[in-house]
Amino acid sequence: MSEQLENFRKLVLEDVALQEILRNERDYNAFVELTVQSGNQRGYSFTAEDVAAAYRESRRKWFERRLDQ
Amino acid sequence: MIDWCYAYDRRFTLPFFKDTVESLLQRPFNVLFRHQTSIEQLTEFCETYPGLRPTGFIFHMSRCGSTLISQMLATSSQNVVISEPEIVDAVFSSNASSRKFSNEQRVELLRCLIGALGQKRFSEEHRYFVKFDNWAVLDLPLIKQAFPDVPRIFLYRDPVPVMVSNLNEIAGKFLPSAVDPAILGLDYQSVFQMRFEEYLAICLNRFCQAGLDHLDDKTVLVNYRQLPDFVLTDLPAVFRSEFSAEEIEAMKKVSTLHAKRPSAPYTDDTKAKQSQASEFVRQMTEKWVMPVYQQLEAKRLAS
Repeated sequence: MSEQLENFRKLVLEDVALQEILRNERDYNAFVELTVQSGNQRGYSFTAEDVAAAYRESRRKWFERRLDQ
Repeated sequence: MIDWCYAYDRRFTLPFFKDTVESLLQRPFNVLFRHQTSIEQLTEFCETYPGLRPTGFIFHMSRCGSTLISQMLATSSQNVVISEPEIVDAVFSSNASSRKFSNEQRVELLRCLIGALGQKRFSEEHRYFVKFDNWAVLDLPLIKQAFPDVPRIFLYRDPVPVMVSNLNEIAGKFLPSAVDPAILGLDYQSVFQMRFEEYLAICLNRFCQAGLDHLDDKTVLVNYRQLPDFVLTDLPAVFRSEFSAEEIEAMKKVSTLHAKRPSAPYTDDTKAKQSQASEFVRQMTEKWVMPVYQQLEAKRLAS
């Protein structure tokens, strides 16, 4: 995950209002767009590709942990 | 490591806890923005958020109607029902990772994990039931230490259909070497030398024996044959609860459906499963499971 996106992710996990904005988006493409927009507005520089890559990585890690159980 | 995902307004109504979690992970937010904490950090969490006190625990030998019971209980919005949460396996002996904790730590972590899962998220929720997976009965002494006052049921069934059901669809933990054979009183060499039917029968023997060995005044034995009526008539008293007529009616309705595939009606498959049993399955069942099943029946009928 890009450092900028990782820092934004940490911010989101601390900021309930920001969580509310992001968690209600069900559509994947719209969610990626909203994440980029929310991050950029707050001074974080990352792209839709960065978000998509981090999303895939998070899914992969989850499946790996499920398989380990 | 513990992953936390946002549960929105979802109650845990699907047959298994993991089903609800997987459905929540369909939401993009939960994929990218999950909190993660170590299992040790839970102790801090549970001091602040102890969760609902468990109302009742459900143990079983596998494939004997426990999901039907949890699905019936889950119909009421006053109940939090957590069905076979895999996260608690971290402290159970069927999971190798439990060995890194002392007995005292395992008791404490179990209390915290059960507390974390039993958070009150809706105002009407006031009862909390946990259905454990079939291996958990081997850790009953630990569970009783952590929750000495919580009423329990141990559910069992004529072992031939249980054997056939498990052979038709093998759960991961039943695969030989998935758990340390020492907890079954076996070693790897003997497990790999025996046929799977015998290994399965020994597992079922151990579950039933544990249910029998740890019987006390907090535990009630329930035979599959008593379902679903037992849930409607006796279970509320066993779990020191009162259910309204509306709750009973809703439970009755769901008992007509297949517990693990609620879109299909329930049909009693006991006869079909009996006819599927091979001679060897019958022999292994007779040798390993039937004697302890009969002891359970004798205890139940005498109580």
